[in-house]
Amino acid sequence: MQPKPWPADWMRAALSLCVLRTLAPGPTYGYAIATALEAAGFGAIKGGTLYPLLTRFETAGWIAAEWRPGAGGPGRKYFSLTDDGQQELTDQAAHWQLFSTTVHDHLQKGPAESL
Amino acid sequence: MTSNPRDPDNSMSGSAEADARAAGIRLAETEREATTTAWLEQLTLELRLLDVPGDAIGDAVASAREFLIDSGARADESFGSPKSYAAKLDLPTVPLAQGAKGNLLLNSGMGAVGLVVLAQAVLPLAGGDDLLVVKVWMLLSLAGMILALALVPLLIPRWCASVQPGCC
Repeated sequence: MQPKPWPADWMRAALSLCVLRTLAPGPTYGYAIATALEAAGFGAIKGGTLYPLLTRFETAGWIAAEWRPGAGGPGRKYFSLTDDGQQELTDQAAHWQLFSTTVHDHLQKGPAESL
Repeated sequence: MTSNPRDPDNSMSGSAEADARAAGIRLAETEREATTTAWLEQLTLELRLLDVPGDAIGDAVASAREFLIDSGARADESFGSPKSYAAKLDLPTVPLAQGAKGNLLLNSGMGAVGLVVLAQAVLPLAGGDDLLVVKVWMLLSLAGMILALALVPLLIPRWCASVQPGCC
């Protein structure tokens, strides 16, 4: 559990990649994605943040959506990664790793080195 | 005065207290459902104003409803205002279909021709068609009609902007 919310700027940068990653194990629906992200330590994700991202991924062809009837309740919209989405996740994850290492290395430098 | 189910009340028996608490929860639940329904209706309206196609509107509204039921959150807290959420979704919009545009032009064109014919026919019908005044009237009404038609594309955006600023 993180002590305080992550800065909004950092969340904006990282969230789309993390949402893609949440879809990797298999088809899942909106609230389950938000819950998984909260459990992973990202804090509460609002519907107003999540769905515009999912809509954007769907338009880009990275995810496919399918309505499934609920058991006794209303149906749920399940999202799954397409082949393009899987490729995008792999590429972005590798790129992010490089970025993260760059940031980390820079922060680790002593005052003398960074001059 | 309504009773607060959280208030400790010694005069109340255990089961009465539980009933009151359940009633309080039901009341809050009903209120939340009403707020959610109103919010979703407003979202539908906002998406319609953005010319989002009907199936995409249905999809967006059903998704939001699903999330709200699952999370138990209030619509405005989880999604913000219907207007801002509709804009954030950035859904593709429908331009007027080619067939619909043709029909619209045909209907308006027939209407305009009818108006011209009517204006041309009114005076001759009343006073015969030999008079000079009839010929002048025909020319004037024809010129007026052409001018009015030419001005329509200019006037409509102005009228529209005065009725609803920022619409066009």
